[in-house]
Amino acid sequence: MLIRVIADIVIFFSILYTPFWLTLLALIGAAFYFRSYYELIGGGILIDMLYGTPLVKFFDVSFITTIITVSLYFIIDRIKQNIR
Amino acid sequence: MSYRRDKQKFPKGKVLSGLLVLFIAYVIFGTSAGDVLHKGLERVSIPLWRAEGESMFSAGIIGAFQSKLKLTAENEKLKKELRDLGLKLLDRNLLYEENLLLKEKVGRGNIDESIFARVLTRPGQSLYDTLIIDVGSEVGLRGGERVMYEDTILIGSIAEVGEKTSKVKLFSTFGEEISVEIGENMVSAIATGHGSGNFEIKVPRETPVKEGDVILAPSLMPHMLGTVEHIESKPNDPFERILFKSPVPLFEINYVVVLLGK
Repeated sequence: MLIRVIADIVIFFSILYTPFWLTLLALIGAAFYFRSYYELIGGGILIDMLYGTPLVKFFDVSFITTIITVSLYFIIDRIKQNIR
Repeated sequence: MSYRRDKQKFPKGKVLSGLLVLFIAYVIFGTSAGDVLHKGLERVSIPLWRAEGESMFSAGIIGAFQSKLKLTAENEKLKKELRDLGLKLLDRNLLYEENLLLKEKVGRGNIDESIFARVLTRPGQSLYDTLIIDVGSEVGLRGGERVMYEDTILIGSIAEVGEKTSKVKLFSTFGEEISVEIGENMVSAIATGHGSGNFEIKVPRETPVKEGDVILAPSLMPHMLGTVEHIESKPNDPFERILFKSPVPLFEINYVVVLLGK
């Protein structure tokens, strides 16, 4: 539990300070390591709340990271089930 | 003997919960509930971003003291650069004053007020090509204001305004479009963003445009976007592509100027 809380804190600071790809890697890594890592979706929502704005390239959707992290959550869940 | 893995059921429940999360996200981002959450986030994130800026600044000072010789050489170089820039600035200021004077004479002397803002986050921290700056509705921002670098180069506009922060949408974001005028002939065109400060303009062939021409965003006080860097034309294409890059180092930008008039 303590490791998970530490990971969450690290990821929170990663969202604030590090490039997006690094945050995404950390989130994916944590989702593989921890069981039911809902923080992956929470992280996506947090990123969108902080940085999100409607852009033409995302069809004016301002929560694209949430969509990505929700999809990733289910994909990773599926992969974990298959390799267990 | 062979074993066949049980066919896994279609995870209906999980798909439904995923859709539910997306619906909640839609509600959060599309209604005033998002504003309340955003205000809370602002309170947490602003001090942290500011602290990062200050620690980077002090790290820079420590780094500079590491090599005295390097520092002296750099100092000399910077002094020379500063001298050259001072001369250029003097020339530019004279032209600017003359420009204002002429506009005043024709009754168009009202120039937009501006406000200096610190950049809290740069592009790269998210999929969105946005900057977050430390001014918001508190200083009268309403959204749509133009954002400049060093008072001369236009980089974007205010997309969303919080109480103490605002999101700046960069014109160079992929797919964003802005009207421009190119070169001495003021050729009107639309510049399309290609991300990371890059733009593309399509104009008919034979348009009088050459490399090095200045690209301006039209207004009473035209603002520069960049200069033509490359012109690509094919014999079978009636159009030619003009490529240019904003001269602003978007990933290292620390301060911007927001023009208060839209």
